Amino acid sequence: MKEKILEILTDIDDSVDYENETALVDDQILDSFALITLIGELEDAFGIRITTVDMVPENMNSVDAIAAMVARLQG
Amino acid sequence: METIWTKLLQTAKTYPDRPAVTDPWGTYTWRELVEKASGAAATLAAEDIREKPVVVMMPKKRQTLAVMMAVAARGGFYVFVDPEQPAERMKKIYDKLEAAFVVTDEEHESRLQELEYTGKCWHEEELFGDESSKEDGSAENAAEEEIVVPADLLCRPDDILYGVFTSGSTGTPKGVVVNHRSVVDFIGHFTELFGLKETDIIANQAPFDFDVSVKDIYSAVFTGAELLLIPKKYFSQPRLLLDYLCDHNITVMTWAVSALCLLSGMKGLEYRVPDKVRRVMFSGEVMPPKHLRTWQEALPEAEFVNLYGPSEITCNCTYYRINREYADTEELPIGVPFPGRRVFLVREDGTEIAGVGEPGELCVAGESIGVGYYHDPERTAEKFITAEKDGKPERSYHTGDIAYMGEDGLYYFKGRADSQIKHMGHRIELGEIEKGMMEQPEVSRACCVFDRNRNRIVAFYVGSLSTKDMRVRLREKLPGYMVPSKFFTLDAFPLNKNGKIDRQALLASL
Repeated sequence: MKEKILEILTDIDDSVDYENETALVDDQILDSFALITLIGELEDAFGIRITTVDMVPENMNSVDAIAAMVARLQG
Repeated sequence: METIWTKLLQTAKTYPDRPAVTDPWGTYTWRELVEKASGAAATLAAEDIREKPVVVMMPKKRQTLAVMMAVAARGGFYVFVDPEQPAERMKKIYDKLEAAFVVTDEEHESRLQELEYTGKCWHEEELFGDESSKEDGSAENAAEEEIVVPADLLCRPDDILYGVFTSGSTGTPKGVVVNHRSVVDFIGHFTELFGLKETDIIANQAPFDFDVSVKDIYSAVFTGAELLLIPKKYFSQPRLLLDYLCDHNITVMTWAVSALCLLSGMKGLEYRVPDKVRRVMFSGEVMPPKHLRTWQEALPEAEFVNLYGPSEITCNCTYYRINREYADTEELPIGVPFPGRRVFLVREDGTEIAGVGEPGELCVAGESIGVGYYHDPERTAEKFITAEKDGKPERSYHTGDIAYMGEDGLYYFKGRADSQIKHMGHRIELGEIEKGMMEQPEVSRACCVFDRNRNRIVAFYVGSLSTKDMRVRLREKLPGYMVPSKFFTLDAFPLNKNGKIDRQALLASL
């Protein structure tokens, strides 16, 4: 799953070191436009629904946080 | 002889203790806003800023608004510059303005060194003194007292009030400048048509370097409504944003289409609805009916208004009150002209179109036409044209937008006559991005297209630079919204019959 998420993120912006980045939202590395693209891609790729309640920095700041959120939403 | 400063004083006298401007860190009442602005104006008086630009390089917060009012009070004009944008673009703006006056804060002062700026620089702290120590007590002490303003206020209706920069196809941004009279006239109509009043709470989405913010700021200044400033980073955190909007009981939203779509696209309205909102007005791009319906369903009692117009004519020249739901395939009209405006369509040969259905370039005359592009008489003469109309000279702005009049007597937007696009609410010349790409030594040819299906800018180029490095380098040159979402390297560009790059073929390859 992490590989797929990395692929989606790299497709959005290939200049970020996602393996080590832990403040994607807090440092505004992903802007609001990138975020909405990311949400759409994650929903399509994993068959999940990401709501506003999930869209908090704690869930989106790193690849690991995103993976944990996706796993939780897949239930 | 009204100016925005006389309007501000009237409002402060009528509603001294009502909230004027609120940000996440606090509120100024109208009395406080005038006092802060007057105090700052007294410090600015050490220099002669009359009719000159003052760059305001600060984040969006209530103090920034006080600085803008102070500059206006001294007869100068403010140009808000986003302190987070790349130095190279910032420098182009400073150079075009021949800026000699800047107001900034401690956090962003270092950026002036990057620009090799040598003019006068005021610190926010200098203009306001130490706020933290006296803020608590001052409101109580001030109550019942007369509002004290300096006697030597300088602004006149024909003075420039502000400048906003938009993308230019040659790579240099253009600075549109607008005077007090234009704003007084337009905001007068705007607040009257849409019934804005002192009990409204206006949620300000637009950054201050964007003329949508002019409607928010001066609608509040003219009516006594409260202005709620939303920091940019809230738009990446929909939950935080909606809690902020709902907890502050906002009643009016005049937003960029892209910002409304962002909120509905992030399913924000499923989380919480700001249900005191009675009017939603939008501009900047064509509103997708799907998103409009989401908002209409969430706010069934609210009125929705489509606004249209470029910065050069002061905010908007047409409006349309939406009175039903629109299907995905239907076109939303841009509507009818604002009072005081004359809107007309011209053919390529310059003749005016009288009939229905024939598309032409939309032109605007009458009140509130901008002063022009600052320090750019050539481009001003190209777009702001004076011609004879009914035996009298008439000055009009030629927008480059193609529109037509429908059978229903309403105007409809059709597209652009050139390669300007609208993305994230910003006007972008693809040529400015292409120029930035071509400035890389490893690149021999570059072309950008706008992929409407996915609402993104896609760049193609021939050269040995990696797409990753291209992105990094463009970020140093251009604001974030102009950096393409996707880059492709090509061995050669597809060409059309005329030997030019075939943009349609590039689009089709996506």
